[in-house]
Amino acid sequence: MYSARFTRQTPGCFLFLLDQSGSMTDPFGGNVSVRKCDQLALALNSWLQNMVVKCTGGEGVRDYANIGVFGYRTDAMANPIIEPCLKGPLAEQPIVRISDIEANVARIDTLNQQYYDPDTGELQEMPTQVPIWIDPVADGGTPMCTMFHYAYQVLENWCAEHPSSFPPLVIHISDGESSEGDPLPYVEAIQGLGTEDGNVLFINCHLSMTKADPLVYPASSEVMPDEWARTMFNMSSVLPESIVSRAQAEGIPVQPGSRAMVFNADMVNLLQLLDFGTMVANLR
Amino acid sequence: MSTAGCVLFLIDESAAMASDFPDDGPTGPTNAPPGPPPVPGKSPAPVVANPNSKAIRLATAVNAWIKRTAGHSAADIALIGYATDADGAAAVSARWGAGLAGRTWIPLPTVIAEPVRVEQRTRRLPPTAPGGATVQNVEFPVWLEPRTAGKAAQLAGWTRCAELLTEWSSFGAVGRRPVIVHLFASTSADGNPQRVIEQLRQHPSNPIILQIHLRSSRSVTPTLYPSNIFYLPAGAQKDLFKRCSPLPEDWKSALQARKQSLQPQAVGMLFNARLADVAQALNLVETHLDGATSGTDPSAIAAAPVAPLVPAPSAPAPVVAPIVPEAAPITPMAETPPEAPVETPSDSLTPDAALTEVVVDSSWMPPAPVERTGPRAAVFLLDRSLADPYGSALNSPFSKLQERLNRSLGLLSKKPTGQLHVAMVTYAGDDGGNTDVRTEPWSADQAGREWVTDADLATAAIRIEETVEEHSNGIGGLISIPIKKPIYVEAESAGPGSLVAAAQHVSRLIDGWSQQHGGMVREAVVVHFSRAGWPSEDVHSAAGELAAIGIPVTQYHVLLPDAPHPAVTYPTSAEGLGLPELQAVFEVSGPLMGAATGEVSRPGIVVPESRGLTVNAEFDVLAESLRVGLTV
Repeated sequence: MYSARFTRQTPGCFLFLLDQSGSMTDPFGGNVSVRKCDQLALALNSWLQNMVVKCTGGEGVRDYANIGVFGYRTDAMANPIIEPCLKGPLAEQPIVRISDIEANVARIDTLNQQYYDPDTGELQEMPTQVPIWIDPVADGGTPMCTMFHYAYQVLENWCAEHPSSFPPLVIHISDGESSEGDPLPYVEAIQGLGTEDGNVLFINCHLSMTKADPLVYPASSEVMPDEWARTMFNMSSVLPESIVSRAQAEGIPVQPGSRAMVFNADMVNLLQLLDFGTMVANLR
Repeated sequence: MSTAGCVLFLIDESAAMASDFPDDGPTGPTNAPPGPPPVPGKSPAPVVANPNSKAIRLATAVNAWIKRTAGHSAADIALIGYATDADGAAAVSARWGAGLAGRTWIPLPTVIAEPVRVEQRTRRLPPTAPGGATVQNVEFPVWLEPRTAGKAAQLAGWTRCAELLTEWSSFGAVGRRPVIVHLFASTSADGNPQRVIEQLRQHPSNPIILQIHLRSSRSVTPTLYPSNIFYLPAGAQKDLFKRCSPLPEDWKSALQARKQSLQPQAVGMLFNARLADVAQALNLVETHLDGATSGTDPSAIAAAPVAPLVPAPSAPAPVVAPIVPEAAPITPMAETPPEAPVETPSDSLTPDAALTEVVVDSSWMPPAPVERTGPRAAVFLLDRSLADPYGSALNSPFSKLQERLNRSLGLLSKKPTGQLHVAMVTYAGDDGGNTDVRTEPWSADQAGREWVTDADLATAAIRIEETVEEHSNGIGGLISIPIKKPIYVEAESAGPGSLVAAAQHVSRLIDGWSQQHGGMVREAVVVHFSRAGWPSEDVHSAAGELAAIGIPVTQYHVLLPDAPHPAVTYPTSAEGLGLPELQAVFEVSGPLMGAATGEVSRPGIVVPESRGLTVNAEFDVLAESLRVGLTV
């Protein structure tokens, strides 16, 4: 279980579901100069680039992974909007191949990269060219249930077409509660999907505006600080044993029974969670 | 098992041991040689980067001791290291390696035959050595390989120690008393080992327990073989005194022969020891094993009583602070005379006495800000309690609070104003229901002082730990940055204490400070780090104590309650605060200084009506807020 390799014949699947509600314009992790939506876009773009690199072989990008990125918000009339975040030709299919992603960069931006200079002991900045696939969007409410309903259909099709692959990973990143009522039944339906290698893994990341103490891969719902955290705990898959042992070997703070969840994440927690997703794929 | 006795080395392998072990100067020819390069072809020694670290120098001393002692003794030796592992759980292990790995007690003749490796080291010779040689090559066998990681799981270490002693004496060994040598640099992070050590002292084999704490700064005075607990500074040294054995007569004679001054009731304790002091203590252990010392101690059956020694009834016995360094600038900040030992009755407040005089007024508001000039005082008040005082303190609210306090002080030291005066106070309760409130003295160059300015903080830490933190690199990636973490206070956890007693102590401290400056001071801020859980009425009584000082006092709170609670930062109302004592805290928490004027701003998080209170979150604006109005 949860042991299939990501190969060209049996690619894996990453489905990102991104909260694009208005509150995503708030600062991130107590850091007033950055907005959650901007940092999220940065993190996703960087992750996509890493994934392209990891999948690149001698003759080009090998399709070890299929990827979908969706955002959800509402319009002025409170109607839900579910939109693919990848642009151009990448928006034509809900799930695309990593080789298509590599071939369809939206644009290249120049951003300031920080690095540590051991000689001076200071943080230096260097302008760096960064490929951009997704842009930040933030407006309206949080139609989580509608998003999950759509995700179910996408995943149902994908699982039917890839019965021997590693089960899909759904990575849901949000900053608040659902404005459509209890999302748990929708999540449970998604977790009922899967491949021969196991059920879909539903990973949740909650972004914090303040410097609240993060809860990382908790194993017990007793320490949940509030009701929404407890709901998110119930929405998160229990990490399978094979993943727990690999994660522990990498120094990730998981234990048997840990849920795939980070609550009150700041940027570092978010990036570490995305790295965790990559680790699960175990690409060389 | 051998009748030649046994020695157990219990070694702190936490991150604290990676910090510097400051030298007094070149060591003599027979003392520990400098660190060698790794022998080519052999695997490099495990991760201890700093060649002057306590871990490396200690390992050298222990390895040299083993080689020397094996020449005349067949005693059993155990090497036990304690730290925490990657998950933060206590990790205690026997530190033999290579062919001896996995074993606990090993007789010296077996040990000497199987070192992990033999290094080529150079020994410095005195200038008058024959042939004018200045160095000599020696073969240096290594058994203990230094390593450091994680926290000091001392409680787990002592527990294992007790098991091992029982195991050793179960083999029916008779003869000289076992020796347990504890070599460490930090306080226990996983709970209070007092009870375990008391039980160990009662063991029928009557072990000699030697506590050796290594110094982290050149500016502190070593405490060597003290004899009277009342002359020791409150805190770690007083606690340690109760956890070691009185020195056997022959050990005392040996020390006196080497010009070490001792009183009759000296105990086996070294605090802020230098390498030379460690070497001298290890020599005592070596001599103990070679039969020149009396192995069969007639008092072997009854262990010495655990209670501290009683001084003459009329002696007031002031607590004498260690050296006040000359380097400190002459400011009105001369420290107030140290307080009488905290065991006096006035500190242990019964709950009734606390409530009789104070009317609980839930409409109490913090004093309105007044235009004042002069320095500002910030008292960092740390609640040392745990819900289970003798349980594991790893990852407890207390250890997190202490870490936050140290980090906050570190941040304050980065932009000093010279007008912010800082003191640290800790409080907790003991088994007898008394509250122990201590002003924790600063260390290093500011050793012994109660108050320092934020400009002095850079030289006031017990030690600086180096660690690595991950940061965002601005383009969606992570970079690892080396961080220096100064440790200013490292207290042990205990039971819950009275908040009112703590407030009274802080009140006297601030009052004394204010009087030192002729009352020409701005105000005081008390930053209270706690896991909450006190009775709500105590919150108001404590506020009353602070309000009784003649100057304005603002209260800030950094709370990590035991019970799950949502994160709250700088609230404007008590609405999000679920626990009753938190509602009381909101009422006494002062307005966040700088919020109303906009000097401290975090859009969306800090508003003009924000109070200085966080629950389960970082008080990230603390340093800025404390500096408001003071020029950098």
